Amino acid sequence: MKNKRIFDRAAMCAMAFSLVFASGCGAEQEESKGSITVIVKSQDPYWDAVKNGANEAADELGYTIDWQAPENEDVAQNSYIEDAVSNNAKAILIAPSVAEGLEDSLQMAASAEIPVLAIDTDIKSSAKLSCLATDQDAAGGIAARQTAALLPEGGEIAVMGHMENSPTAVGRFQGYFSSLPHTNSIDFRISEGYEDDNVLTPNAVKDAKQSNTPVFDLVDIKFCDNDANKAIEGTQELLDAHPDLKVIFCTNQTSTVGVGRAIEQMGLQDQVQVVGFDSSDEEIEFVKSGVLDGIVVQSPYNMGYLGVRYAVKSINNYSIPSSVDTGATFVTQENLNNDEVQMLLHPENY
Amino acid sequence: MAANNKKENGKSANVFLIGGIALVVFVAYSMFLGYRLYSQLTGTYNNIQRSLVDVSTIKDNLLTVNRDVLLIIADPNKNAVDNVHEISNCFVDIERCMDDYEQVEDRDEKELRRYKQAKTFINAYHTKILSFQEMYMSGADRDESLKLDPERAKLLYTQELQPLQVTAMEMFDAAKDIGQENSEQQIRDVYQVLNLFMALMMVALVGGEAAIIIISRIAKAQSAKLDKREKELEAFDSKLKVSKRKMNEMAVMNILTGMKNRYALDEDISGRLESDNMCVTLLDIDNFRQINDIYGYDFGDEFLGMVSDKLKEEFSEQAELYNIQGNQFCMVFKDNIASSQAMRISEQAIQVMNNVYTISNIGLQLSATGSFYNYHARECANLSALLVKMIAGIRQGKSRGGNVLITVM
Repeated sequence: MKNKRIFDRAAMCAMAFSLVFASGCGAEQEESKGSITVIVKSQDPYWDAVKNGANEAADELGYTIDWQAPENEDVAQNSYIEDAVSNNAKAILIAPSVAEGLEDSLQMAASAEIPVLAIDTDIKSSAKLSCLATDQDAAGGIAARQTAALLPEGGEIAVMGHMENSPTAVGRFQGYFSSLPHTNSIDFRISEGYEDDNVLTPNAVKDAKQSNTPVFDLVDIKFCDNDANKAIEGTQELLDAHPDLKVIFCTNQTSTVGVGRAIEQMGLQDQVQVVGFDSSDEEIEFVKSGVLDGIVVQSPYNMGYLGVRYAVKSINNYSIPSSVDTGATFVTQENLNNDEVQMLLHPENY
Repeated sequence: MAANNKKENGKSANVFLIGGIALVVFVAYSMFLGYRLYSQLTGTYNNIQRSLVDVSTIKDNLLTVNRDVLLIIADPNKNAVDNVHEISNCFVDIERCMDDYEQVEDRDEKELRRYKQAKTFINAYHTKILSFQEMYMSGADRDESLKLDPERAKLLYTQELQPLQVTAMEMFDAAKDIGQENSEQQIRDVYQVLNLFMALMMVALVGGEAAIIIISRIAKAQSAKLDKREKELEAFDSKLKVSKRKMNEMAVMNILTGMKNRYALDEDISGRLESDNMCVTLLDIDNFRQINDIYGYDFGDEFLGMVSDKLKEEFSEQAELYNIQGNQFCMVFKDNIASSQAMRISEQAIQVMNNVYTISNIGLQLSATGSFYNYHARECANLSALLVKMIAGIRQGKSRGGNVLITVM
């Protein structure tokens, strides 16, 4: 009897010990602290990179991501915001596809005390706590400096914009030309906020020529309405009208790809410098083959990653900066294989 | 019963042995586990501290670099050389911290990944700074087109340098956060193990306590049982003694008269013959055989019983009375009785025996003959010799017609 009791107790102890070990070794599954809604503009590799970054940050911080990507930029984002509010999202990250029209929904989120952060594109709203985006001015400026470095002698320059009233197009255009010493030979009548306020005075041009500073002459601006084929046609028209054209500046992925295709078709890669935006696989190929002389690459991964980190900071009542420039990098044939560039292009490998 | 007891004892000894061994093992294991948890905690705390120091040093240095860049832009002539020197020192320090950070083992994969990203940003930032210095500081020796005026330098700073620096800092923070979270998780795990361990100790304690109580109860019950058995045994023993005494008494007693018999007399005085003086009287009922012959043995027995009862009643204070044979009684006088007194008592005894005894309405009177012996030490070798002398006295008395007391020498 007594012996049996002893053995029972020993068995109990053994069980308890193994329990201790099991709990010591076993990794515990942590409960999610909540969901962060991320609303973007559309579905393409650029947004996939944002999603990647957001997911990783959420994973590290113990949150889950509620990913909302409409099929295209025409879909109104209000309903996504309202859904997030009714689903008790802890925070909302939004890449607004329109500059206006979201205010009511954003105010609804603000009154529910859900922090709202803009990513990729800024939006004017009192509900927005912070914006993590590539400073379009800065991105344009980087492209401009590199253009000047590529062409120390200057020359004729044209612009292939992606959308006439797009804030990114306006920002990049202004950033670019405010950093590029240029003259304006076209009758500049573009609506929707395009302003070229950095045109060199004739005296300045003279000075620049004397000091061997490059001076560019803006000869035309075209818009492709986010259509690569339209961009190809536009490029042909530009080159027909301006055979001495040295540089084409493109403001987004579609326009860059279109211009790149046109230049490749015409075999003008050595004659015309193309400076573009974004980093689709096709663009990378164009950079490798020399069709594109440089592309300004943003870091969508960082936007997603830092966006979620800042969102969590604001959930936990830490102060966050009202605006963060996630930076842009000018990618050329030379630096394409550098670590930092590869990390921008393929963050999943790092 | 005894064998069973032994077995029980053996069993409880085993229990204590096993209990002792279990206790030793448990204590040893506790010490081991405690030490392990302690070193684990210490290691984790050290790692946290080290990482925190590294990351905060890196961030400090990045901020210093940032400030220096701003100072260079603000006033290149005044600050440039010192600041460039400080910037390169900062990067040396950053390198050192990054090396140190990498030294810590057991880093989580996620943390390491984030750290590597941060490192890549730092390296890109460093490269950018170097090219910035080159463009800005040595612009005069180079193509004028590359020389940055302060305005352009500011743009370069805000547009290219600052985002890299901010991102790098944030990535370092992220790596640190992951590391800290992991460490905290580890610490939580350790504490959980510790709590479980404590609970286990509690269980062991309570279990041990319960075992002690149970064992003590069992021991108590067993000792109670033993006590009971001992008492039973004692009772049995005393019963045995009583029956033994009775048996002894029966051996030295005449059943019929309830007086001591001849063996008792032998036992009582044989030892004294060598050393003591004493007065002894032998009494014999005259013509007793006739009673048996006339009235039967039962009647005779009854008569003997009555006579002996009377003798006992009258003389047991002065003498020890024996019924050494059917109709023969012996009186051994006590030491405080003088011989003359003894003689007188002997005569009284003959008178008493001479009384009329009524049995079944038959009155009966028989005379008795006595022989008195004032014995002195060493006069007789044994009882038989004594009795021979005294029986000779009886015979002498009987030949005189009985109802006399003869003194023998």
